[in-house]
Amino acid sequence: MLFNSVDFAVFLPVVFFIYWFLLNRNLQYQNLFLTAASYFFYGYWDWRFLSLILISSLADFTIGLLLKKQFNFRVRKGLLFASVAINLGILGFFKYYNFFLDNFVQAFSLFGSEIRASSLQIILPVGISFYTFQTLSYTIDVYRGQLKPTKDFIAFSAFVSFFPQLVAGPIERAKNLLPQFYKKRHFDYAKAMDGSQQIIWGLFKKMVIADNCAVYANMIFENSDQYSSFSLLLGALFFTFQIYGDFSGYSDIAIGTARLFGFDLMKNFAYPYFSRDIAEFWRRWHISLSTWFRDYLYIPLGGSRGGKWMNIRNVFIIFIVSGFWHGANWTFIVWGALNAIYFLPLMLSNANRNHIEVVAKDKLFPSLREVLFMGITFALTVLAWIFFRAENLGHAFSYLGRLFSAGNSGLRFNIFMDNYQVLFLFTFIAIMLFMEWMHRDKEYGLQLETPSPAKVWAVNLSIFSLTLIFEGATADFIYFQF
Amino acid sequence: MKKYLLQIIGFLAAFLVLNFLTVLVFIKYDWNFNKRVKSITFNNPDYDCLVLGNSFALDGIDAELLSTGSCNSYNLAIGGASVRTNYIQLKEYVEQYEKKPEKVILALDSFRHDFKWDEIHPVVDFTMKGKTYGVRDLPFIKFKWLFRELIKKVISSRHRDAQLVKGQLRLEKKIPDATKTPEKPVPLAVENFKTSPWVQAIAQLCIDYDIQLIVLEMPSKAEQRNSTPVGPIPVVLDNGIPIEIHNFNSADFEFGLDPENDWIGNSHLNLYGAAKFTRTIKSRLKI
Repeated sequence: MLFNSVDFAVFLPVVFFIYWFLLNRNLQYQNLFLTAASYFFYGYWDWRFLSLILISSLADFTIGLLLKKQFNFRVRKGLLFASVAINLGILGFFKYYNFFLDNFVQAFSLFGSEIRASSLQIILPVGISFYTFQTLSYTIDVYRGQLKPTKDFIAFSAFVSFFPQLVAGPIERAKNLLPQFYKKRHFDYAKAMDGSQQIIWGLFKKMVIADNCAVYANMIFENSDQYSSFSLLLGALFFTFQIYGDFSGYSDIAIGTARLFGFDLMKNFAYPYFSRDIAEFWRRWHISLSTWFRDYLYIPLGGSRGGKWMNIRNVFIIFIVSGFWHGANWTFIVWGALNAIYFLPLMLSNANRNHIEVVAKDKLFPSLREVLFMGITFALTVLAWIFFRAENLGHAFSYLGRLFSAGNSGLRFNIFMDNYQVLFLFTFIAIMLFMEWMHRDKEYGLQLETPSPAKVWAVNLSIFSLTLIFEGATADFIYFQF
Repeated sequence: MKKYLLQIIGFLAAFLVLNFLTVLVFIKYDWNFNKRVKSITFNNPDYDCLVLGNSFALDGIDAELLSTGSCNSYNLAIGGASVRTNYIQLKEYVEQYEKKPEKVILALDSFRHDFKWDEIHPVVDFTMKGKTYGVRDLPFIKFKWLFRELIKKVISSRHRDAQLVKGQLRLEKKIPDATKTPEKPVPLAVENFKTSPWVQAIAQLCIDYDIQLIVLEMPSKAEQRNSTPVGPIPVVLDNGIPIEIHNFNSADFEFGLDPENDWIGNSHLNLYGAAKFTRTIKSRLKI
């Protein structure tokens, strides 16, 4: 079920009503109901893949309990390995089987050996990478002794399948989310109002920015060999805002929805396009995934403790794995590697933690130096997104080649096309950037701090109305495919 | 909880009020809406001739010029209307008003649209008799493009300065037609007329109310002209009703349209082109 669908507009109030009005006296019933609602939410797309969520839930719940009773180091390690093998095994089969098979066949063909292997028609279950990582975090935390295993299967199922963040995150840590299912939840007016506002902002970013940018980004990327340099640059910019609006919009809706039910999810985006260097960008983009890799991969690999070269190796590993997490395509791997290369000079000069605070803190405007750094970081990000969006590496390189050499030969993208539609879109992107700049020290771009309820109402009503009026053609969230 | 629910209800109520106000703004400032509301609230209209069609007819047929002489005319065409919408408009008109028109000009564009298209124009759908309203009829959802049109009026004098005269939208701006007629133009898409259930329904309605139906193909930019003569071309529709198509988009037929001065872009005539075209219709069809 899509957040920006009529189905969800019906589903959400119904679940909200039953949850707070009929089941508010019994925590167990609330958790059970949330699990059922989440399974319905997921099964609405394809009920067959509910079995995968159930398998992951059962496996990690059982392994958690076994870990509690087990003190033998080797057995404990074996249990952890079993959890990793089950979860990554399912993920690997559904997401990477064909990729490995194709590359294996191609690699052998380079040496003159021809292998006949038929790829399978595998449907990629929506959000599999997200809930797999979420449930893995539970077993790892239990294994490390950082979390007590739960005996409450209903609460655990609700944690794994919690519908607001099930299919596209934020990837919650068990330490943060699971305990929230144990505690009685009380309706909090301020939290619900704030959540509702965050949903409105998320819908605006998804339906107006992402869905409209998608039309032009697709048009240019799909015919990139016909467009002029400037048009290709616009195509890359459209995709840059599409992916941000799409993914951060989803996160805002997810966090806002969770707040309606009394839950606090972690922040997933912190205005990444205002970053002054790539390290800062990665502290602000898809935070739940970056920190997941930091906690469960980078630090276990030794982090920065083993000297500079070890650190460089580890950084490359997490960026490449992070790229591969996004999809079974070399484009994502190169995208990850490219970001690692961007990161390298900062790390070598120990400058990767130079920009921790929000840019131009307590000021309205950034300094010229900050503008320059933000511009450079943004440009590097735009270049990297070309790999992310391209169909394959050949496409990415030809896009880049034309971007820097085509000049004005080829089609010129006309911003006056479609009756001013593109001009409207630029205006909305400007509105989004303005709102986010003004609230860059807040949780989300529309988090207004004004004592005047009339102002809050006026802004919310305007953004909500603009969203419905100027929504683009409805499209799936990009990150569903990951 | 009560406070939250009151806020949500208040928000939704304000949203509905905003939607309602929007309809009022559209009725006043949007040509299609304005015209539609007028046409369903005429006070005993005595039109002899009605023009049906979409934006090509809306811009391209001058009902005031058509009315000189004895044929009082009104242009009912609506931008973006399907032939099904035209059928609904005509049916409502003949059922609602005592005086029936003597003639109906169905001005179509087979070079662009498929006449089987089933969509009812949102403005007509919204204002249809007996309409039951649902969530998707909220003006903010249903009339998205009208907002864009309104903004265009605010920022562009070309849109702002247009006038609605007897249902015709008069646009003065000139955008030259720089296209060329192909060496081998395609023939007129007669099948499009023949097989359309909505052209058939209009023809049947005209028979039922004893109205003369004049079907014509609107002129297009040069590159979309066809190889069929101007006619009239006799055609028997799939429901057995014979009609004649006046093919004003024939590549062989010239009536003095100036590619530099008579177009507003995308095969739409400006007020100068519309006047020339209307005179041609008047003389050829003896209206």
